[in-house]
Amino acid sequence: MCEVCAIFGAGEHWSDFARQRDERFPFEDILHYREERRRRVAMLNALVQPLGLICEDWDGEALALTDARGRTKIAPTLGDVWPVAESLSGRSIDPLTEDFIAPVAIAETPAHG
Amino acid sequence: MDERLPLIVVTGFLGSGKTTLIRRFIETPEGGDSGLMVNEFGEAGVDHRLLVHASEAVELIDGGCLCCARRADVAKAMHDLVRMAKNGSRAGGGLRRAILETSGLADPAPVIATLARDPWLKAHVRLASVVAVVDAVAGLRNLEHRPEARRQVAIADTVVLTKGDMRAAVPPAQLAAAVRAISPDARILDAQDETFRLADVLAGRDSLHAPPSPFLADAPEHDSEVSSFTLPLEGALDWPAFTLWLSALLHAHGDRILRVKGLLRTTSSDRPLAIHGVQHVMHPPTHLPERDAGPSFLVFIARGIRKAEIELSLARLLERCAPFAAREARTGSQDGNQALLLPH
Repeated sequence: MCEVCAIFGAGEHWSDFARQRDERFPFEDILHYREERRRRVAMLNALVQPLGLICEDWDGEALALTDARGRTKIAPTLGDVWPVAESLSGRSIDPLTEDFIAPVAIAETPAHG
Repeated sequence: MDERLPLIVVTGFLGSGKTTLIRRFIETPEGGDSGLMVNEFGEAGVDHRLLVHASEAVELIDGGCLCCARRADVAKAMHDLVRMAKNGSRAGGGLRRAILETSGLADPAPVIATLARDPWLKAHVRLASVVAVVDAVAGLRNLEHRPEARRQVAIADTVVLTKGDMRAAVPPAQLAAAVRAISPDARILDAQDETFRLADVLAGRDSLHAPPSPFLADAPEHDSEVSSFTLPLEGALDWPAFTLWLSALLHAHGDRILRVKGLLRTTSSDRPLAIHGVQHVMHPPTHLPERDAGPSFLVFIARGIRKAEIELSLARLLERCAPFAAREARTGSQDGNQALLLPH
């Protein structure tokens, strides 16, 4: 837990339950949890970079999206990423269309911690 | 242990027998410690008068339909009820469950969304079950002609058939078939059946978290109508990729995806994962023992979205995310580590 921010560093969104057990905070699995989040951020970047956005993990709980002008918005959960990405990019996001998957190959983001 | 107050949402078309069912339950020893919230369409609030004598813990949400602008009222009623449940010394103290009866014309999904969006409620209330009541006299006609009735059944995990003893009742098998055409995996119970126990439906046991089962066959697809279909999956699904896809799908089309559920084997967990969602709201997934789990699948009950669209969209995203697969998957140290959509 971050004692400054009072953040546990583990999300409670349904998508954060990629754990080995049904526990609220995955202390036992924290490295596994972090690795899965790292992969998810890499995938997210592949999808949002063509929209001119960069996505970063924010303390293991939220996600930060930044556009080319340096504007940053925090998405508290994965579910909030899409409306935030739409508001920053001005584009609509629909996985039923082919536009959803990034047409340009983007290198995987380097691993953190 | 989950100590949050279980919430049972009871929905069903006008005159289907929701109030009777609830009243019968709260008159039993098992049901006496229930808090009730009633949303009656229109101004009359007749049901409130019926229920207020049965329980002191009634919150009436007056003056309209839950799916419109009354979510704040739903939240307030639930807040009040939770406070009453926690207050052991005053009326309502010691409540063991909350039962919300929606208006006969209401779509129960916004109620569920209200619960999910309110952090305080989320910490104090858990959605245990959504029950749809369908009566054997007018139910079949309502399901055929009233979109609200179809949506209520589509969202429910449990359907109770009522009024089967009336002369004009259609046979239970016929009614059950109509329900299954909308929601093939719903738990269907006949209130006339001698084994039927109200406590099985309204006591607050989690029926949302029962291991899901795939449909035997997809319901027929009609344009702009509710359709249900199963996507069989093979191998382990890449959980981060899957969550990206499903969260984006619910963001863009949550209003048309009435329910999504599934049993998944994922790259992220050793045990099968059961997922369950209603419109924009997903419940936290639960791990299941391997022995309780059959083949992996995803089930959708959707309006105006075809199976082929969903299938193609998921396949495209999984392929796009394959370069980011887990290390062990990339090196091929496990068999079947890339989820495939099975041909069918």
